[in-house]
Amino acid sequence: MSTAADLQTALDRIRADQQGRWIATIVGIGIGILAATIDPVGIVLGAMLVALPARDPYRGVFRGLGFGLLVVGLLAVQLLLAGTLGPAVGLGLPFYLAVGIGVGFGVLGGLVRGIV
Amino acid sequence: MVADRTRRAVLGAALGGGLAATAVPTIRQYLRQFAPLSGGVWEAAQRDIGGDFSSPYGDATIRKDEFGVPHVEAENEQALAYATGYVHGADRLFQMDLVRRQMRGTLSAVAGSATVETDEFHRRMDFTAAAEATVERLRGTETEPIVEAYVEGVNLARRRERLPIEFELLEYEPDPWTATDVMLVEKQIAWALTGNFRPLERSVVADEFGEDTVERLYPDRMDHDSPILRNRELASGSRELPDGTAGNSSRSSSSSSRNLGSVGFADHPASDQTVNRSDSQGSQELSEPTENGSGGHRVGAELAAWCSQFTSPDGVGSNSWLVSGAHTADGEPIVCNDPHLTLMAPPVWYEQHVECPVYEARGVAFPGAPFVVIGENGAGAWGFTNVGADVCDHYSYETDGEGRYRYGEEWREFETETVTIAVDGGSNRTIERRKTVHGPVVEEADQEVAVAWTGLAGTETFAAVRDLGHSEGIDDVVSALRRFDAPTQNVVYADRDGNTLYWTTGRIPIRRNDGANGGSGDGEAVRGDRIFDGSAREGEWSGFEPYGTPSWEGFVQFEDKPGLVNPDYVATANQRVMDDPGFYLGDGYAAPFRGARAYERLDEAVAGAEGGGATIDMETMADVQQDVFDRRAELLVSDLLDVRSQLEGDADAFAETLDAWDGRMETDARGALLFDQLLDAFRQIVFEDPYDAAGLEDSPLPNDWILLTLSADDPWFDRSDVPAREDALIQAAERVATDVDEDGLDDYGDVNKLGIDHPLGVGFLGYDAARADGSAATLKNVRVDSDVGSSWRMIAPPNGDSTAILPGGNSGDYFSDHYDDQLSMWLDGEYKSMAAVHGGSTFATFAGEGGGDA
Repeated sequence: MSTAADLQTALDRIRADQQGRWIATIVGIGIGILAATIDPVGIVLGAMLVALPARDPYRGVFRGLGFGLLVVGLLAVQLLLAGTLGPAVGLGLPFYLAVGIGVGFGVLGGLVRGIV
Repeated sequence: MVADRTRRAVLGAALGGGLAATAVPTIRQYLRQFAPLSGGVWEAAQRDIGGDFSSPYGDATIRKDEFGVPHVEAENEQALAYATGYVHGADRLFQMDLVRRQMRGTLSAVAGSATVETDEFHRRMDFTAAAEATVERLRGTETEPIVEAYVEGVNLARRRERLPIEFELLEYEPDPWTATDVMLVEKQIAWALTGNFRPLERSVVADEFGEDTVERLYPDRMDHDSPILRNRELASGSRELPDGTAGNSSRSSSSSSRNLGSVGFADHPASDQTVNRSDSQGSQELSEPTENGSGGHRVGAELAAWCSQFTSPDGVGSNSWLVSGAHTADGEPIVCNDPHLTLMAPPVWYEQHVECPVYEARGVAFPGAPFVVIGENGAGAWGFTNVGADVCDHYSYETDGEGRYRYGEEWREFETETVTIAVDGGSNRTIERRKTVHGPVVEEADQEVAVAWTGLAGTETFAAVRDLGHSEGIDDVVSALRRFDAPTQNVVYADRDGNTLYWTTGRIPIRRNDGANGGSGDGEAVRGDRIFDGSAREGEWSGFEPYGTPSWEGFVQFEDKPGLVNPDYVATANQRVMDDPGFYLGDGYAAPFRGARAYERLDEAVAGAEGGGATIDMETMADVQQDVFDRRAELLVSDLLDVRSQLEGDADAFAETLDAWDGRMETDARGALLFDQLLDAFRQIVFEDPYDAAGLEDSPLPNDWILLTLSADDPWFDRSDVPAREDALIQAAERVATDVDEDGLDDYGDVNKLGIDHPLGVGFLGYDAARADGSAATLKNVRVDSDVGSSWRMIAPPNGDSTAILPGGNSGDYFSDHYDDQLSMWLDGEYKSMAAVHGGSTFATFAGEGGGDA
């Protein structure tokens, strides 16, 4: 069997098993957040990792979106802890851009479930 | 199966395309800046500045109070400067970097092609070489090690703290701060206050309208009776005058006056005051040249317009006054100052309280330099306003087309240097910088002039400012002011002993047309308000070499500058200093509206106090500083009422409203709105339209004093494109009566909205627009069109509890609570304490070598 076929088989196994889905999702979230703190494309990577275990492509997109929102939420928490959430929101467009990047990249990464 | 493949292909293309798009440079840049978790802007939002550091200079502690004002305490002056440098770097690093980039001509390296022109101007002027000369000038002085320690402190913050948001937006890191950068801060404010190209601008107007017109529309002396020094006349041989103690109602110590013997000024009743002149130069030598000045050489409009971009907007000026203890409720003097500079986010000034065993001062500094410039120390309080002196001259030459210019009998090579201006995201620009014996050459559209300016040399101003901080009374202050080279300033000072002082500072050139070495003159002193023929050695300065160390020997001596020791009260608002200073002082005075109003208020207050009425105290001073009565209205409204019978319909109702209005520029006043609009319309009809028609859109218009006092008989109103004065006023009234309703304007606040911008021009970093009381001509000064106004309001009794306010906040960090926490107070006319106490929480500590973690 080819490596791709092996991977597909492994994914299918994870997708069929609820516990497997949870574990894969948690690992994906961890790797994804780490990647997102290093580079913006890390958000796409994280969304892909949490989307891949989804049972179908639609759920994959929602999982990607969820990851994007999680990233935005973490930013909000960071700013809240720093005491700068208010002025950050007050920036207007830059803050909305951050939300848009999180949501957009999340959905983008979630599309991977429709491919694999 | 096919559908499945198609879906995968489409989704794959979307995912791949999306990822590929992140590599597009512009998109990538936005992602680096704004992406959640990794975006640089969000890192800047989580700056956590302050902490514990070691210091090579000694122990120091910084506490910050409820307004983010640092209170710095150190075991010696260098340790103090190091800590001050750190807190400047932590709070204002971008602003500092922007100033040095502007003055060095390196803005385009980070901002792109939009700033190439300003870089070219600043490179041609070579302010950097002047700053380097200033570093050399101060080498070996007590100021040098203080500057060195300060620079190290700034660089500590630069290395150790996260950069503020502006650096993330522009994506660069600042270079190390240097002593030259400190001196560039001095050059920047000095150029902003005294750099000008007025002779070029006026020669362009003269070419179009004639020199007679220029002399009437831009007189060097406006016909008013409110100079700073009222009812005073020049007296030669002043050293014979009383030394200031006789008849002095203040508590001046005799020692102070004795030590001022070399200055030798006396206070006299206002009706018969005499201003000292030393006899260091004969009065004939110093006598003011009478020939007025739009004559001289000519340049084209292109050069005048290009150069004028790089000078301050009209209206940069200031208010200050002092009242001696003879007139105040508690018998103590009070100093008030509010410099009108560009309003920006963050403010021009940085408030600080610094203390070490040898001195303590509180007030405002320019970020980038360690010294309190305006403020107070344990001995006294001081403030500055701009004089409007002419310390900047312009020269044209006969050239041979082979890189040489004639200078008297000689043909000299231009001193040339190839300079490359780096441009971010664009092509670099290369220019050839040229200098003559007079100074740098600025050029545009094949037109050029050389510029001589007192700031283009090694100056001691910051040493003087440091001395002010160390001063222990009026004698020390006079000594300090002798070293104050540039810019030319009115200084008001009062000390704890009750002494008061007004003096003009800064070097003032005496120009002479050189008759030797091929020059065409006879050595006579000449005015500086024209373009000189540099080849004929006109307008020569003596004791000054561009970018060198001046001796200032041919300049107006300190003792000859207008001033008073122990005046009862004095008000400065950039108006003419005095009627006859005895030499050509300047042509850049402001219209007298603010100066006259300040004196009107002080005269009333003093008369009231002497008559047993209300006494003068801090509240009185605050009320004067917040005064919004516009004296322009007295002139314009009365003229309008004179033609009221000719007004119809809405315009008549309009006049009625103005008749009932009290002249106060308050946001809720409809009369203030109508006056403001009427003045704008009248100005447009009388000056703007004819200037535009003549192609003079870039030329500065005559000021409002000229607009409102130009006689109906003046030939200006005979021009075919200018209506008769009465007709212009009627047209303006009818136009405004219609426009105000059509535009839905109700009151003055609808048009007088102050939006203070960030220098980057990024909207979200500016302060929100707000309705603002005041106008360009009121003491509470707000100029919404040019973003100029009171950049620091201070009321400082040397023996009392001083108060002040900034138009914004003390921090330059957008995310700080102190970025704009004083703005609403400033708008509302409130103040905060300037108490010299080390309050607040600890922000940073510095341990002498061996401690801390740095």
